[in-house]
Amino acid sequence: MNLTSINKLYVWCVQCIIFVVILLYLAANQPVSINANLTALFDNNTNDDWKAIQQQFNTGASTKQIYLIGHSSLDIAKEAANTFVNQAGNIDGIDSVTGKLSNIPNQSMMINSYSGFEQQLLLPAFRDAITHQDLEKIFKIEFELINQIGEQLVAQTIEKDPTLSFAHFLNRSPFPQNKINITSDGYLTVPHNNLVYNLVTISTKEGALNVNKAKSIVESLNAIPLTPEVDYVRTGGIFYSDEASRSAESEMKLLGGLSIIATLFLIFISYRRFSVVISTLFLISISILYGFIGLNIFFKEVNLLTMIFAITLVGIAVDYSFHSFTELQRIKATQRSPLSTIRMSLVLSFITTTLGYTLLVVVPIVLFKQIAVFTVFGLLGALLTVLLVYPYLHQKFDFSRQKPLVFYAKANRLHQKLFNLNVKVSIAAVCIIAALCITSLFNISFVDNPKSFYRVSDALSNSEVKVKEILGQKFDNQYLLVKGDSAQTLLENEEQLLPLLNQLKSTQVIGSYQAISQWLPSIERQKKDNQLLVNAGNNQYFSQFSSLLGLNANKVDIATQYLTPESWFETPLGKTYQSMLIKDAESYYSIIRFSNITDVAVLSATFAELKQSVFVDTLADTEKELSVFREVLLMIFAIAFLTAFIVFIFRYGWKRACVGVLVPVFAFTIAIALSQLFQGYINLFNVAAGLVVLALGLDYSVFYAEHGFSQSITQTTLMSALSSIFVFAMLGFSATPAIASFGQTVFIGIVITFLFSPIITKVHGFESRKKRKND
Amino acid sequence: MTKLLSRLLACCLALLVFTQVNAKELIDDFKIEEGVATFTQEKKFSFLSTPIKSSGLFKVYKHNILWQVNSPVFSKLLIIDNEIWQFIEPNNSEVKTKDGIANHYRKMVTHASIETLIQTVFTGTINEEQWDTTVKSEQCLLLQPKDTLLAQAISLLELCLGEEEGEREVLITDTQKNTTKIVLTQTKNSLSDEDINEFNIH
Repeated sequence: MNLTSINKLYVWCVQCIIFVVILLYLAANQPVSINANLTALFDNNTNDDWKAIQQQFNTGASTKQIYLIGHSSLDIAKEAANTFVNQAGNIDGIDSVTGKLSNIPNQSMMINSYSGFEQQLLLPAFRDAITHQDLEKIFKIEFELINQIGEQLVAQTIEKDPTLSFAHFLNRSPFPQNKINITSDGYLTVPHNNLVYNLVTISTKEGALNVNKAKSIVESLNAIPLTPEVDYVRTGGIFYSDEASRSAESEMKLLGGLSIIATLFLIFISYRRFSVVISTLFLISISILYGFIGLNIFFKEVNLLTMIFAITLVGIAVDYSFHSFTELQRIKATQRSPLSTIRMSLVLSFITTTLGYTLLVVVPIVLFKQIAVFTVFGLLGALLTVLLVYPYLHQKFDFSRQKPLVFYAKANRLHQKLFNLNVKVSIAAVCIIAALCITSLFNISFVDNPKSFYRVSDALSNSEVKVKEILGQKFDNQYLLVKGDSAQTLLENEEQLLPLLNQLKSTQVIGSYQAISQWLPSIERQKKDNQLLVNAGNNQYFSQFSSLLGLNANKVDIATQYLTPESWFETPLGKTYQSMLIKDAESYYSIIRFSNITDVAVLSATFAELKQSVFVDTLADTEKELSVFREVLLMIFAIAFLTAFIVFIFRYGWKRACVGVLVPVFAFTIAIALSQLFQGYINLFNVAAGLVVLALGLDYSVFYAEHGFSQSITQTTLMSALSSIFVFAMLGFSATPAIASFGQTVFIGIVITFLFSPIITKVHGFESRKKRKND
Repeated sequence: MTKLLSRLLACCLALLVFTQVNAKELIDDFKIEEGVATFTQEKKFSFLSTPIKSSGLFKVYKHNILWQVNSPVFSKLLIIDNEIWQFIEPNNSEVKTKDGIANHYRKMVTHASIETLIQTVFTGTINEEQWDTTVKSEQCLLLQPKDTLLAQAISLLELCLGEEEGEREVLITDTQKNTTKIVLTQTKNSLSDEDINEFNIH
């Protein structure tokens, strides 16, 4: 079907309207949110129950933010904290802000939490002493408790339990922090470096990973007027999300803006027409719009890195514009189908690039899927615009009025000379490069730590360190996830782990841990402990203490009722543990948290063999998965290479296919070797860059194979390479290490591909022979 | 009349300044920067007819405290950098770290307020952010806790200098009117190398 230019424009308008309507519909009903999770690079829609529960716990944890407001005078610090709490409480998206002791149970509350169950709760030391009939040890525990300075437990519990097993059970802190004081008016304070800090905790409605929400909350928090000379220290997920978002936004603006300006300048210099610049700008806008439509169709949540990688689309999409305008410079405006000669090349180029990016979709890394969808949709928009809108624009503006720039003729001659170099010099150059690459590739070291993909500002990390230092202990990111069919089996499963955890604590692999079963024993455990205590009383194990007190300490009642999770979670102490338990349709899950882990590897190895529990180390798990997917990506690279090779064999014959495909592979290998040399390591993003090098390299090979080593092809490939270099060289300067790695490798790869892709014209395949015959 | 009023005001101010200075001097007198002392402790509970008695010694070194009860049962606590470490009997519970080093102490998770109390009682270090201080007599200071958790346990702390050099008396009254009387006698003003070694928890 050979449509007129105006009819092509109508077709374009119709499809564009359809896409825009889809975008508006999706944006109104299910707007895409931006996610800044450092470790959420993998698919979220997992069927694994454990993973789903982990995500629930992680999201819950990221809603907590901490502010420490300090001054040398406690009164000023309290006033500043009060002002802050009042203003922060009004911010949209914040669930609660508290600077006072409202939810921390005091001793009386803790005693009341176990009312009626006092003689069925034993700690391991007391239990062991009874089990081993160690009467001396029992007396020692009892005496130490009653002799302890400043403790009220014995006085408050001895009436209910004269054995003091209950006082012993309560004589510990349910929280790992040990530096917090509580003022008479209920403020939580911590002294540090001659200042008194007030602890203010903020609970957000959503997790910190939703960038838009996090950003708006942080903006509102920043707008709160601060009291002069008061020190504000803060930490929490939303501050990291906000910084990542700001950094991405400023990079998108700066790097994206600069690369677009440089590209448009290149276009203006090359074609000397404003209409060409405006048309290209239009093409870029359309391709970005289509990219967003793709993201809206396929994803509910988009990773922040995708938005930065989106800049790469600009570099690829403008190539279509270059090819088209270079062709249109030679074609009269009156011609019905001015782009017919390069239509096939454009479509073929779109297919090879799409194929490369589509392969990214099969990688279970959601970030790559998003980049692939964005790029493929963006390129589709660019292709449709070039094929359906440019003919009409040509009719209107007649791009053939400006002749090609002489510079490109010179560039073509210079480029030709590269292939007429002295054989010895060429061999020497190849040998040097090969030696360099081999040395570098032999020393290759892969880094898959997702933390290395981002760079957190010194201010943020120092702030977190300071908060940890001021507050004392803080829970580590790793935790143990325990499962049970019912609440009781869950508690029993936890109890089986407690001896192991105590051993890890005594060998200082962990500093301390927090588990529900430490404070809520299972009914089975309560029954056993009560029986043990009754037997001990009957056997007069507490007689020495009885004679010291002048009371009967051997009086133990047989338990008739037991403490259940339902009632305990409603007590003040139980409420502080509620977030550690999650129930799904079939099972109960709880987490055991650790602080001051000194050896994660030992911990991970110790828990590896456990049933009904999983050690969660999100960072290490992601690292492991990333290393697997880096290998998968290399496989994909190999598949893409083979697929392109087969397509090329059918189109150009095997000799030219070999050259056409090997050039980008060669370029990628050198790029990886040089990246290793410059960076000192290779990450997933360096490897992912290979697909862009392959996609662009194949484009160049297609155009050279189709149209020969002509001036017009030199012009388009040089412009394409320059525009891509503008984009990727810019990315190389990104403050985000992952993006810089990607940009650097693509930049090197494209320079090499551009230089060597004309080799395909030096090899004669059946297509060129056919062409020469026709000529 | 104006003259009389201004003289009266001057006297009041002088008295206030004297009391402040006196309190400050007293606080300084209670401080033990370094040394060894013995103690006897007597706890009287409202629900018990006989008091609970114990005795032992304590050592102070660079704001760190070793508190050792010798009678009637042996126990030892170390307060180092605001952390409380409990001594474990080597014969039955000695544990080794992953590096194979014998570890005789176990870190206790307690509340900062207990450390504040122990620091105040045994070193005379009075943090005015945590205590309201009043002078009871030439020899005695009365302290009331500002911290809520501590205030839930302790209602009054009375620190008195004893008749003898290096002697101090501490009377702790808890919120249930139970009292703990501790008599401290400083025997040394400095520590030997052996004493200092005891502050090494590993």
